[in-house]
Amino acid sequence: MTQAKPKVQNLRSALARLIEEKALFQGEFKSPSGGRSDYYIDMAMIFTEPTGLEIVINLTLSELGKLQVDKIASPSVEADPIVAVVGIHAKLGSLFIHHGEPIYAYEKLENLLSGGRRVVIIADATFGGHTVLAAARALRSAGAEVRTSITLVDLQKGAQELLERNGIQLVPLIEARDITQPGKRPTS
Amino acid sequence: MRMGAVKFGDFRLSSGARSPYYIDLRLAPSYPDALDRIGDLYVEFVKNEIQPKWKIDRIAGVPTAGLPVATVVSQKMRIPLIYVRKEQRAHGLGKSIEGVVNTNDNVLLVDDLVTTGHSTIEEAAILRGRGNVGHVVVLVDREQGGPGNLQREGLQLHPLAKITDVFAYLRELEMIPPNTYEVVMEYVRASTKTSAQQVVASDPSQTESPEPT
Repeated sequence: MTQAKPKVQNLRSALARLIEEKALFQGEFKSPSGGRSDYYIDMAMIFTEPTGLEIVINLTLSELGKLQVDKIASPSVEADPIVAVVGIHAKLGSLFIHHGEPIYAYEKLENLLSGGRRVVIIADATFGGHTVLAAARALRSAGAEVRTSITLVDLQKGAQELLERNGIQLVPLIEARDITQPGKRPTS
Repeated sequence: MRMGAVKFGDFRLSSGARSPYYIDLRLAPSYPDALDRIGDLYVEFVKNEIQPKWKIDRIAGVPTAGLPVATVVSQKMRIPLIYVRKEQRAHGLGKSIEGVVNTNDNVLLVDDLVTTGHSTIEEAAILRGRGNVGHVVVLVDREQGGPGNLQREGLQLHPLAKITDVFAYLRELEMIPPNTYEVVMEYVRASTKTSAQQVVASDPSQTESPEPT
């Protein structure tokens, strides 16, 4: 990132406003693990667009900067785009685990971890946390040390608790409570 | 090659066919410098060869292997990304194109490899319901009929390298032995002929991927 770095807090509120504007959808939604919600946040609406992508990259880099990390990993195809570009800027190799399985055909995950085993999982959104946990299990069984997961947005439907119980600290860039839903916005 | 992205041996592809080599560019993001350089190659090509004659409104990525590099190109060029979901998700919004595309947007398809081109044709068909798709940029053409098949669908393929050039380069650096070189070159020659005879009648499944994606 070549632009001057605005303060992290400003970036966070910019991201929250962008989510409200572009990525927040009302209606009944089901999570992969069967949980329900009356709204949904589609982070692809943010990171497919250059300004949103820049904000997400900068915030993610700022969280990664606080951690001891050798590799980053995507737990699902939704997070692949952001993990790949963050990897370049953080100069960290990125690994892809979909549905709890590494995506590589003829390369063992063990070999890809040979340069360092501390892996941070980066999710696009967390709901119940099951997708991140499945990726963490695959990584751990290949010898990785997984202690932290960064999520662009946590919908606060149990992910923090589930991951905590499994030795993973969840670090959300944005939480559901930071987002004002249209129906709950104060009318002016 | 150093990434282990090109392997030699006896591989069974998802189509059931066998291949004496396997190329897996899904490994590239494990090496961020390599992914960055690969991204620069795409950007340089697109800026010089496509943008002057065709305004690009969207970069379309192809999951799984093509999406990371398409995102890198999207970020470097500051052009919005879209991608087609292969699996309908059971949760969330259940839509098939991610990102925003407007009617009459010019959409540049960015993928990692092309073999016969069938998976690219499917991808383009979905995107064509939404925007204009005319050009496809890939890192490697596996030379199994891709350019011709795409041409018939009105898609112009722009490979940054041909697989036989990759093999020739590796041979020159003595990174593959002469007999392996002969085997893989003969395989490409033979499969080019076969695909030219069969044209579109062959298996439409994505032959470059041995696992369901």
